[in-house]
Amino acid sequence: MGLLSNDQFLSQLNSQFEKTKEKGTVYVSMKRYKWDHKELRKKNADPSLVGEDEKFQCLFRAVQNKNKISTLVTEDNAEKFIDAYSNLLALHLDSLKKKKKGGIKKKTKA
Amino acid sequence: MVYIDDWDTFKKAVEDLYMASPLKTRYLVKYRNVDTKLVLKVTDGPTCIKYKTEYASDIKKMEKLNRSLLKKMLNTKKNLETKPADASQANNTITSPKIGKKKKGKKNNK
Repeated sequence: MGLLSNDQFLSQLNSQFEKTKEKGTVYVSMKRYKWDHKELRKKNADPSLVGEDEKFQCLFRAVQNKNKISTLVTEDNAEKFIDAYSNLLALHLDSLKKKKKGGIKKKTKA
Repeated sequence: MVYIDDWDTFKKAVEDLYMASPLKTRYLVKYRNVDTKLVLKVTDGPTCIKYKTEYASDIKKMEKLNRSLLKKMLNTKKNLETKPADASQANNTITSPKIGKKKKGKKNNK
């Protein structure tokens, strides 16, 4: 449990997906990490306090059957992380169905 | 729970919600291999919008949305879009795969 590096997070997320092949769910969430910005931590923080060029990190969390992991993504890691993350999703979300309706190419010969 | 059926409507609603409260909006993905179900939820506390799907065709759309949201959350100006020909761009070498025209037609070998 806890905060991992980007690579550790991705590899553990990979194993979480593998564990849920037969049963279970994987939840992945992401949000802006504003803990470093003291003013924005407050409940009713005004969004206009955010400077135009102010950079934030993004917190990614994943949960699988009480196994909780998380990681922080910075601007520098973002591209690499999101590419790896997208690859992971493409790899594991394979049990989703292929759409059969709207097949314009095939013409049914009556 | 507010489920939206049309992807474009969902996407627009997500972006509007994020623009309205960038500090509080979080994005959640739930995947169940068993039921072949993918659910996306975006909330900023009081407001919540969801999208569910069983189809693989939505993975690409979701991935695009991931990238655009990550970019917004980081407040970065970097382009996080998918770059299919990444390697060749970086090296600047001519390695385009489709140079030779392979015709499957008849060859006159006489």
